[in-house]
Amino acid sequence: MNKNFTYYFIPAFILLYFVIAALPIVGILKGEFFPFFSFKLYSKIPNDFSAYDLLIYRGDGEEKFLLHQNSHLDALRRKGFKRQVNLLGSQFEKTNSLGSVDYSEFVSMGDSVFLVKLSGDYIQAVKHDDYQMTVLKKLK
Amino acid sequence: MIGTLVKTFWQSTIINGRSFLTHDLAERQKRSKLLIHIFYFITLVTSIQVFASPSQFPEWNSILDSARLFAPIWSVGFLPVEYWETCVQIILLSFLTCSFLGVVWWDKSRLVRVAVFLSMFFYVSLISSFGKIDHVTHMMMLSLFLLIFLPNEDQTDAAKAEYLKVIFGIQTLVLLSYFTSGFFKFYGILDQELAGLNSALSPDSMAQNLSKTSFAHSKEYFFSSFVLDNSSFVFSLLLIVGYCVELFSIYIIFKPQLHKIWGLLLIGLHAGILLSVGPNFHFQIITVGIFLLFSPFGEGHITSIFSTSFLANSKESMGAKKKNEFIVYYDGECLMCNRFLQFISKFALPSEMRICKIQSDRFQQVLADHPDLAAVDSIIVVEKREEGAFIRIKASAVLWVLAKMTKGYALLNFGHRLAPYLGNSIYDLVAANRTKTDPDNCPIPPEGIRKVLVN
Repeated sequence: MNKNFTYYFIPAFILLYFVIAALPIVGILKGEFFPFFSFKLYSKIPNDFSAYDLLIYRGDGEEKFLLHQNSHLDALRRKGFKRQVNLLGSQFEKTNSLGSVDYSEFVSMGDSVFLVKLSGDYIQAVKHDDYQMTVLKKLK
Repeated sequence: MIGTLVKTFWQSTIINGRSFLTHDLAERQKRSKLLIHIFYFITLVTSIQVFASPSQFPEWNSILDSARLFAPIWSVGFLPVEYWETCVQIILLSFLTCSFLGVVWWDKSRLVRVAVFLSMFFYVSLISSFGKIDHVTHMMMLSLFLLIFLPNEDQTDAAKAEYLKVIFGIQTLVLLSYFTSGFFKFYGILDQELAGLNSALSPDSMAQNLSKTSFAHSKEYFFSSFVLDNSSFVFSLLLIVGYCVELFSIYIIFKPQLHKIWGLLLIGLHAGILLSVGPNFHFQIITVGIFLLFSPFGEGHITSIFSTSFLANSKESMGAKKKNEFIVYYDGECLMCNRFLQFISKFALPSEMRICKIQSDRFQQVLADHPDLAAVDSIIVVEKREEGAFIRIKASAVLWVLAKMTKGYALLNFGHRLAPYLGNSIYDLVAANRTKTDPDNCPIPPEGIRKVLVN
């Protein structure tokens, strides 16, 4: 076999790929390093869950969550909103205040908006809509 | 050391004395080119899907409206948000344009292949910059990256071999990814069981997985209600089978005759995931389909696997009782080989065993029939079977011979066969540091060995 560039590069790249993918697993990197998939993701069976969400009341009596059971959200907004709501929730639980996290976009979504934490068992939540909801803070 | 490991990697493609990357070059390169053509075509279709609705990608107008949600990952951190619409439009249109160029000129210009990869890389970076990295296109994108290293000319044997090396590199990356994923899933079972949590062994494990995605996306999947209403160990078993398919992908890397069947199994796994748990990995299915299901290294119809591999293995097991004659070729000028002979002389040598130096005319004949062995620095075992000679090298050869003599090594040999790269790497690392002796000063083989020595 010719000892040219690909002879060394292909095995080296494959090795490098798995070394970099392993960095978040061993705790050297905080999160996943794109485009190196962190193979530990999705490796465990979910047990109980807790998730932050926003409960939005409108003047017409409509009550809905920003994320949960909201099938009108496209994938991009779901991801983006989830990230922002998680920031709000974790900030509030750490410091009991929302600090500098910007939530003005959410405030305009309804007449009353609450930051809530949903928790429970996934199966019960999906099958019977049975979960616990804790109101963390009224945003509006 | 790195040089040795790289050598072991490429020499692991030698099966029965022949590397599957160096024979039938013209035919295999022709098949590879067709596969790459199709792959670039699928990339083009993917880039068109960016503008389609509905599609698995976020809608283009939704991206344009989402500047406020943009949380850039490192690769698109440089984008000036004040020119958001222009930047997004450039990224989307670049992906489309470069993919068109890729279909036409991928085999003519490395620059075009670089452009196709980069355009997809920036697109996936963009859509991964809203709080969650999008994994579904990773394998497709990484395959495009490795395709950059294809040679631009394809007429010489060396260039044809380069094609095959790149394709094999993609296959290795894909299979190792599945293996690693499977490995961590088994680790997850252990971790959760030790922590007293529900693991994949629990009868509602699949229902938990399903409801997690269902809850997160407010969607129902094809088998949602059936799985949710019927908690059973059968689902747990199905999960474990899926994990095993992923885990044993490492075994397939250097087994080209299994590429097709494993490609089919992995596609089946993704179909099962889509029907039950939800995530749609169709870009991954396409990559697995092109590079494994249609692997240029798999020979014959997919069903021929049952006559070539599985039956061959059972024949091999039976062969142990059949006592085919075999010759162990060793380097007469190598002290390590001589120590190996001294070690095996302590056992009762099988009657069908012969030993011969690689410095003999007999071995020159083997080399003439199997030129790929010339670069292999190892003990070589040639077993005479009815259908022809079967050749083993490195740790595979040593452990096979030892397994013939004592059952303790039979177990080790079985373990080695599951992931031969590890054993062969250790063999090569030891061999690379072994002591050579003067040809005129070779140790005299023990008496037991001298009885079975042939010239």
